[in-house]
Amino acid sequence: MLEYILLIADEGAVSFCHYENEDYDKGVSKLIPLDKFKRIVNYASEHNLILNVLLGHKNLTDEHLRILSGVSHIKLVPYELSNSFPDAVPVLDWESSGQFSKIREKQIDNLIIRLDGYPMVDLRAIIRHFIDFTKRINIVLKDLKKLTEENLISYQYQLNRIIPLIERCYLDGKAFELNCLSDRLLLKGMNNCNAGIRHITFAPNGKFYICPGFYYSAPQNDIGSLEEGLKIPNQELLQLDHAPICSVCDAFHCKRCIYLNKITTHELNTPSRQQCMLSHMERNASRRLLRRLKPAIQNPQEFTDIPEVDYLDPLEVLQEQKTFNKIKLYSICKGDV
Amino acid sequence: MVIEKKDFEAAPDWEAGRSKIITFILTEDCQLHCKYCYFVGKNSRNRMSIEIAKRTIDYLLSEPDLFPESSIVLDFIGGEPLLEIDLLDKICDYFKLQSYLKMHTWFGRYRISLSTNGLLYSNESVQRFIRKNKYHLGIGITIDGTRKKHDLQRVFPNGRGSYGQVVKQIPLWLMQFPNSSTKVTIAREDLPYIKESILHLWKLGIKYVNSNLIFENVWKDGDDDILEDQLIQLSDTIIENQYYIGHSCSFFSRLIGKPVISDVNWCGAGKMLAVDSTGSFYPCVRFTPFSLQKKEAIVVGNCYEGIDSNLLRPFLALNLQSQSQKECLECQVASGCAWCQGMNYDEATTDTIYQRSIYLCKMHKARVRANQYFWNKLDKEK
Repeated sequence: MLEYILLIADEGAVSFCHYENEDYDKGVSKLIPLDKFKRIVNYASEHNLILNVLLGHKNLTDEHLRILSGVSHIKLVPYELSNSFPDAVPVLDWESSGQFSKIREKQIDNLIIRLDGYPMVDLRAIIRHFIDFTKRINIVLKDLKKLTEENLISYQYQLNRIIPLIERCYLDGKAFELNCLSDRLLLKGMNNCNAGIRHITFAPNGKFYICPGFYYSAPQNDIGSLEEGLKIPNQELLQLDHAPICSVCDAFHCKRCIYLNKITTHELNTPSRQQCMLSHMERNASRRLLRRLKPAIQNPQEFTDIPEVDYLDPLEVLQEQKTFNKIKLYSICKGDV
Repeated sequence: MVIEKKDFEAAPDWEAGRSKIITFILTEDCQLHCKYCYFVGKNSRNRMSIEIAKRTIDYLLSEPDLFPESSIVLDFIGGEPLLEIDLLDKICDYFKLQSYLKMHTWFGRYRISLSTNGLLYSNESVQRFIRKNKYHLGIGITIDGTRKKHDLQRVFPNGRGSYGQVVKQIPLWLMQFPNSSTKVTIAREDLPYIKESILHLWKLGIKYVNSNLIFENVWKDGDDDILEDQLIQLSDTIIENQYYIGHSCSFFSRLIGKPVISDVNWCGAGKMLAVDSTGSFYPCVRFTPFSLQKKEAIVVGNCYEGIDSNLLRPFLALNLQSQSQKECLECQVASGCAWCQGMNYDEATTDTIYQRSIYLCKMHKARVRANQYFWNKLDKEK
């Protein structure tokens, strides 16, 4: 069921996820026309949908802000605008360690950091820097689709180095979450991005998209408009039960990024090997964290065990199951069982 | 009468699906213009060069992790592969030599497979190739049944039927490959000739007949009745004359017409690999540009850069559940209901292989009814 709308309020809106927005990188700013803005805000209000408003380098006009003030919304803004919007979720595009000096220490509840997986930055240093004045950090690897297995192993190494930091927070009773290590700890089922199911995107051209990535990469592939209504062809392919690899997976925190799926495997329901390996490295790091935490925490029953597995890509599990089924089927056909 | 297990069984399958199948599309040319052919872009321009073939073989032999199968089938199709018999011969020689030099598992564990229209079968160059590769070779000549049925579809560009020229090749073919099977493809106009065609092929000495209906959206109301009627008539004749001993026809099987018991995909696209004259790799020949009418080809790599394994993942992950409608999953006679992944893709609403076409639904159900009739009657004969 639809819960919220991602509203791209500026052609040059900041990316908060795996997709790229060249307009943002070039510093372009072109706000959504006021009439479209007004209509989507009304639509969200009528349908009890929360708006997640994506801003670019420049602020909205007073009129935009006035219209927006009447509805439930969250703003996602470039880090440099976070002073103007203390309640917004800032997105920090991490470029180099030199950035530490430019970042002012201020209290932020929820911070998104986008960074390259290659070359891998000192992720531990970044987390250490922010850990005392944020409650939650979401790490997004921008170049996931290009990463080799060696690059991902470097990421795994970084995760292992961060485990003691997160452990310390839990033991000290400090509320801090890091998406790639904390999220899996409490999950008992898939909790993915769910683009096209829980949320859709409204773009400045007045059209709906599955997510902003689809708008920026193929604007002709919209899924309707306010006038035409919503239509997602083959919508079932967004659901877990139509995603064979994800159906056998327990990296429950994985984004299952539909946009990355489409550009890497050409199918909405099929993750790339990189996506699967990354999520499993995070899952396994969460498992290591949990093993360290369990003896010391007060309510270990809140956490579900994360079993040890001997694979990083659940496609292998699926193929083993298929081989087993094939053998079983063959045996049944031959009357052996 | 006791029906022996060996009766009415399909032709033996080399390595029973455990091999890697590599399809070389040697040429996009063919002497025939069969009306039901999915190969829509026939031409005499695109012919595979030996360099492309060699690069492909080098790549295959250099990636044992990617191709862990213990044996390989070198499958040659076209167009008509025998138009390029010299090239075909050179490719096989190159494979044999390289697999030996590299001490590859596939040296000696290979099979050469050809599907041909048969027109050039008795040519000396083809016969020389057969003698040379006798112990590793399987050749299927396509003959569709009676002259009437065959010539309805398998015609020269001028519309003349090819039956007369093909049937002449059958005795030599069966002498050289006595356990061969033929594949009968049935389009809508062919339905009234199914019974006589299967019987005719058996009479010609072809013991194993694989038959399938075309997957395209051509079937109309009432076609299912004609199919069922033909198969029931065929059943009666088979049983009356005990043709079930020493023959088979894939229309009848004890395995079809039951609820599905496995989530395994029907089609092998992606587990096999096809390479065309440009050196591009495809999940199977049905994903090449000349086999698709509505969609772009799906290229998963090429002989220069290798395979993009991410593009193969959707094929490797395919299962029944993820591509089927609820109606199909709940169908009580679903087993044996076939589909073609390439056709599904071509017909899908979006660019996906995960949307199963169900044009054959009624025809499958008719086949199931006739199949039940056949086995019930046969079992009563015991």
